[in-house]
This record gives sequence, structure tokens and C-alpha cells, in this order.
Amino acid sequence: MIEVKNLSKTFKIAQKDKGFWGSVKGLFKRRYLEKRALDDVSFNIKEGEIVGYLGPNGAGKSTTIKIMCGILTPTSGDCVINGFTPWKDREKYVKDIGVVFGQRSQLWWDVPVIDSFHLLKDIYKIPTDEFKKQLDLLTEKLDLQSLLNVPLRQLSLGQKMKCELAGSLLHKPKILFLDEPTIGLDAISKLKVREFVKTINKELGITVILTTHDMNDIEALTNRIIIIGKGKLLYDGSFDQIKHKYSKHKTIDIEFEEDYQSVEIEGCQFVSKVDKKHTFKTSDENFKLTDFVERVSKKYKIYDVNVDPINLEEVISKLYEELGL
Amino acid sequence: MRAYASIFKIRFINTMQYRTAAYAGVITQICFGLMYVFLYLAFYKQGNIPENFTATQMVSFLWLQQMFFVYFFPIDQNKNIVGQIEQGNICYEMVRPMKLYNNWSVTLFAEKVAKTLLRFVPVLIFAILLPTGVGLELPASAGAFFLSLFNLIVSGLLIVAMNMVCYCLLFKTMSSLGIFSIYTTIASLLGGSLIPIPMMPGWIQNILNFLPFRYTSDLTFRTYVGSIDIQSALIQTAIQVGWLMLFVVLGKVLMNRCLKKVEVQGG
Repeated sequence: MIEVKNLSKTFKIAQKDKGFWGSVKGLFKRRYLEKRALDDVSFNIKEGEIVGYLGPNGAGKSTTIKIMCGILTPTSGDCVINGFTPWKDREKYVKDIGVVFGQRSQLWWDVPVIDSFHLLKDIYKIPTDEFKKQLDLLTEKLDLQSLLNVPLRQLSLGQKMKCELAGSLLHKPKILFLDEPTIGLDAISKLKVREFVKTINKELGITVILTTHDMNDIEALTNRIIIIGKGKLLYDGSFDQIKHKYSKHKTIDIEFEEDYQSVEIEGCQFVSKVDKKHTFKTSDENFKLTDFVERVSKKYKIYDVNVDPINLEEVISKLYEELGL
Repeated sequence: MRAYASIFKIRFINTMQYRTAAYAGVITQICFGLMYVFLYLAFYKQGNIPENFTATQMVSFLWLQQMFFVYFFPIDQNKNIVGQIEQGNICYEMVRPMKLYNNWSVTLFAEKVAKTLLRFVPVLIFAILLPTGVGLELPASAGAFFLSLFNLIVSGLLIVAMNMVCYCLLFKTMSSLGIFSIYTTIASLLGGSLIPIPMMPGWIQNILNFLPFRYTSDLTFRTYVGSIDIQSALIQTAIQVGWLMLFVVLGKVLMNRCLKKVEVQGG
């Protein structure tokens, strides 16, 4: 379905010197800095897959998505999606894709949502009965009924995102690109968006490529992740594997009965202390709570113990650290 | 085609919402109309009467100018389009199966027509009700009327086509401020919107005939009032259509080049 081969993209960025004279100099002589946004990235995605595309800010995620949508032309490399090269056959190719950029809006912001949808119907030349069916389906799944007649600018961010999702699926695309779809949303809206993406993937068989910084998105939606950093492909595989690799890392909170100034526990690293509560970190693979409590209570009076496995954000930041990002 | 008709409709309806701006516009246009009429009539009283531009023609010309002020304004600074270029929202336009050039042209034209419809009727009524000599007169002839109507439509399209070239340049400069204000000044001056062209020295008029700017409002209004006779008006209409085709081709070529090179960085 999607084949990306040795994709590279270099941006030319005009350099400016500092201060007033720097600006004046810049008027006459421009220095350009070449920035490699993408460096030899390759991967394949099968039909019906959901793939999480991860990376820290500035890694090249959005650039990849934009190339795959036909917006940008890569400096070199190849990409065949659904039989088309996106940037060469843009107008034909985009009929079969849906795109949601979390930070931009595709609907017309000063007209009611339903008018935007009708305009999209004409743009994509969707037959009336098909449009009605799809709209009913999306309205039901996303609970849009009350939003359709409201101008977009009056909707909340979560409501807007629901409408954006519906707008990107009206023409029944085969592939859906989601660029940070849950950015800025509250917990409930995030859950709804995730659930919806899952449903359309399962029921309509739409291939989904999703970039996000929210690891819970990934956890809820997919097991296949691709990680890039500084424009290079770093990891392509299962998310569970990565999680497993870091599962030995744990955070331990111990509340003592007395206010100890310093507590030392073998195999644990002290992190912080608030009143009587001390926080430690451990990477011990054979960690057992009973043994641990027994060991510590010999020296100190324990009131309460809480052990947290490493959270997803930390998994990723550890991973980024290890990969040198 | 349907899609473009839809875009026209949605933009048109949307622009019609902004009535308060239109009321303010109407009042401004009426005040400016009166001011210009009395100002130029004072010139004429001094005996400075240009060729082929009688006082009555001049007055009608000025009122037409006020009636269609927004229609003939040299550049429509569409916030939406400027934003797409400056802030990168163009991303979404490019994932649609349609030509960006047509999309933007239709948007610009729809808004132009909608804004005009909101404003021109009150000014028209006011100008007609004014006494002879200071008000709007009937067209020179039926032929002049229909030809000027055709000129009016082509002018709108020509202005949009010229604007599209400006928007293409915006891809390069990334800021609408400079280009648009310079362009507005130049186009207004060379198009006869600041000083009617018949009042300019002959050698300047000759130069302006070779530029596209006067083939918008100047041609349309002077055909209407009969300052240009039907025969030369027909020839100039052909030139007008020629300019339109030239700018459409130029705009499309530029746009294709821009889209190949467009770079949307970040976020």
C-alpha cells in the first residue's frame, strides 16, 4: 500500500546575523544553511494497518507526512502510495487520502460545518446518496448532530476535531493521515478520537498513519511504531517490545513514619523527598516488593509504599536518550 | 465545475453577511463621490476641458467609479488566501483534488461580486436622484451600455487574474504588506482611479494604452458615458480580453512553479 524508499528532504534556511547591522548585511548577501529534515528514510505499510509515527519535535515527522500527502517534493528518494507518486500525481492521488493536521483546519471557519461538508462533497464529486450514507454514519459515530449547523469558529477544540475527522472521511479515503490529532484535547475528547480511529480502521478498513506525542494514543491504537529522530529512521517495529525492554525501570514512593533526613537503600537511586515521603528509582530486574519492604523496614519505619512501573512518556524519553536525540 | 460553483456560492453567501461594513462603505462612497464631482467641476469651470470628456460624462464617470469602488479596487487582500501562504494552511488546499489557481480565482471573484452587490445599489439610487449636471446620466447608447456591461465582467476577471500573479509573488516574499500596497498605488494611478485618464497629458495617455491597468475601470466607464466611441471601444475590448488571457496564462505558470517549490516548514 505504502512504500517509502530512501526519502530525503533538505530545506534551505536563510541565515541572519545578529542585530541591526546583521539585518542590513542580510539585505545584500544571504547565507543559507542547509537543514536535512529527512535523511534516507524507508519503510512499508500494509493495507489496513495503523502505524504510529513518532519522534521528538523537529524530527521530521510532519515533513514525512507532508511528502506522503503530496504537499512537499522530496529532494531525493521515492514513495509509492496506492500506485501513485504523491507529489507527481497530486490531484489524482489525493482523492483517496484523508488528512487531518491537528494544528490547522480544513473546514471553512466562518460557515456552518454542514456547508463545509457540502462543499467537500462537490470538491470530491461524491454522489449524493453515498454522501448521505457516509455523513449519517459519521454523524452517528462521532455524535455530530448538534454541531452540524454551527459555524466552525464557535466550536470548542474537541468539537472541532470531531468535525475535522468527519470532513476528512466524507469521500471514503483508503488512507488517513493524522498529524497530531489529539493535540490540545482534554482527556474525554482524546478517548473519543481514539475510539473513533479504531472503529474506522476496523469497520471501514482504512489504513491510518498517525503522528503524536501522546503515548497513550499509541498504546490505545496500535502496536506498530516507526520512530525517527534528526531525520533518520531509528526504529520500526512493535511497541510492546520497547515497553518490555524498559519495564524493569520502576519508581518507588515510600512514606516513612518519621522524618528521616537521608535514607539509603541498596539498589535504589534517590530522586526526591517531600516531607516524610521519599521517591526512589530502580532498574533491578529481580525486584520483588515483599523482599524490598522487608529489607527497608529493618532500618526504617515504613508507613506506606507505592510502586509505579515506568510510564510511557518515560519509556519514550529513555529511548530518545539512548538513540542520542 | 460544480466544485467551483459551490466555492463561489459559499464565498458569496459568506461575504453577504458583512452588512455593517457595506453600510459604512456606501456612506464613504457617497461622500467621496460628491467631493470629487464638485472638485472636478471646479476645474472644468476654469476652462480646462479635456478632449472627449465633457462635464456630464465626467460626472457620470465619477459616480460609476464610486458605485463600483470595491469591484475595481486593484487588489483584494483576501485574509484567507494570504493566511494560507504566510502561515502554511495551504497544506489543506493541496490535499484536495482541485486546481489551486481556479479555487483561489473563484474565491476572489465571488467575494468581489458579493461586496459590490451590497454596495452599488444605494450609491446608484443616490446618484440617479441627483439633479442633472451633478448626477449619474443614462448610458451614451444601448450599444455602449451592453459593451460596458461586458467590459465590467471582463474587468473583474482581469483584476482577479492580475491579483493571482501578485499572490504568486507572495510565495516568494512571504509578507503581503509591501507588494500589496505598492501594487495598489501603482495600479490605481495607472488605471485612472486617482485622476481620470482623459485629464492626463496626451503622452502619458499614450503610454497607459500599452499597459493593462486602464483596461479595467477606465475602459468600462468611458464606454458607458460615451467618452470612447463604440468602434474604438470594441477594439479596446479585444485588447482587454487579450490582457485577461495573458494574465491567466502567466498566473497559472507562476502558480505551478510555486507549488513545485513550496515548502511548508514546521508543525
